[in-house]
Amino acid sequence: MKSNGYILVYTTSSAFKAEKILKNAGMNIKLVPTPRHLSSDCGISVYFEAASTDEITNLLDEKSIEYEIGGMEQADD
Amino acid sequence: MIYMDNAATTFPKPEQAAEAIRKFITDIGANAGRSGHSCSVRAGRVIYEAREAAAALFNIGDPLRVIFTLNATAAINTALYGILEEGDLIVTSDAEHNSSMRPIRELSQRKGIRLVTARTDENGVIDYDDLRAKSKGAKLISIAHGNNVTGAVSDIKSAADIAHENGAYFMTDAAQTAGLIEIDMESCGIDILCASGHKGLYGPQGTGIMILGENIDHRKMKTLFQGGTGSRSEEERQPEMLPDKFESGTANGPGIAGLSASIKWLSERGVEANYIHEKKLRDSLLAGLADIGCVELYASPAGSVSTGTLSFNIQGRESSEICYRLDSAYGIMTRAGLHCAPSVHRRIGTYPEGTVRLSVGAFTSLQDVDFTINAVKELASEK
Repeated sequence: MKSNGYILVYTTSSAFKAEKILKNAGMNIKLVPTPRHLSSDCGISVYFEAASTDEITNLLDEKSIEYEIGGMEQADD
Repeated sequence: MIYMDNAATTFPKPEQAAEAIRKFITDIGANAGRSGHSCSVRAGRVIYEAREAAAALFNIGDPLRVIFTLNATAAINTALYGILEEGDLIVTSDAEHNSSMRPIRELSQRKGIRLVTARTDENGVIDYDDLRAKSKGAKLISIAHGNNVTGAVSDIKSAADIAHENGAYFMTDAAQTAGLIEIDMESCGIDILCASGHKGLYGPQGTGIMILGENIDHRKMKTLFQGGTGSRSEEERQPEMLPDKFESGTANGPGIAGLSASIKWLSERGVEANYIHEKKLRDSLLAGLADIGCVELYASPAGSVSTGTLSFNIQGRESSEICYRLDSAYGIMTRAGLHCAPSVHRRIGTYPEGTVRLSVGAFTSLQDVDFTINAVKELASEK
């Protein structure tokens, strides 16, 4: 199942690191201001569209990035 | 003007660095990591790419282990105060720069850190047997990679091996060698590397780096100072994650942008090519000065691995006078005195008078070297 959502990180450096990894994997992502209701840890987070969270998890865990996934909703077909 | 003071800071810097700084302060400008707007994101990306460039240059897998500091001194202080605790033993050499010696002495006198110094040879190269003999029970071994007076270079892989045999961390002050000599942190076994951004990396002044190897658990390190990081803002305690733990306050965005461009320039030029260039010039300088009768040289030999630095004196003359005359009569910029390294001068027998130091860089030419040799020759022939 494909979802939209936010990868919430604890430092902007991790956001840039995640951005590079996911873009290199061909994912449709962008850096956006973190919605306040989701987190206050870091000012920016990675917004993904129509992506598999399993794939995101595999890619980021391999590169030892600390993160959470939040604000998920099902992507339109 | 002939610039022979590259060991203090390299000059000039590559055009690419100047352009990157200009672009940052006129087109980007925002505070990295402090806002979510697109300008701040662009600033943050510039700084992240600088981390990637430094990580690649020193072969570290995780760019987040690259910490930007004000200079090499700040990096060394951050590392020493972060690692050492009361009762710990630190082993260093008897030929270190004050950027290391002053914080180590302070820690030793005021914080109960035990200090032992290992011998170096007449040029400042570490005596590996003496280092091994003194390293038992050490928490940290910290040895400068390149000597800032003689240009001598120690084998840091051997020193790191000795540290690890004794269960100690190995740290090196690579201010004189970063960008000039290939340093692979992983294969050399360097746990902490500290360097200037504005010397052999050709970035602007106000930049330095501390890189933590994979063996270092940063959560066990203390911070030298604390403050806003743009992260975990609801907490009044310093965050633990890298690089924020050691980077409080607004980053030197323009400087780091310049440093990033310089490292890219350096990587394209090649560290090896840079070394060959400087080595050729230094060998010519060494040979030319050795031919002048009353010149005393303080330099590692031509056949050894060295930086582009060497020192000399003219018998019976003060180093400050020679430095002044080289500048005023010939337009040659050199540095006289103790070069912030009294222990080095004690070791090579030039304390407290000091020496005249010449240091070549990527933009020095063979003509510059020949002109300098002739100038010293003329000054030496004066009665």
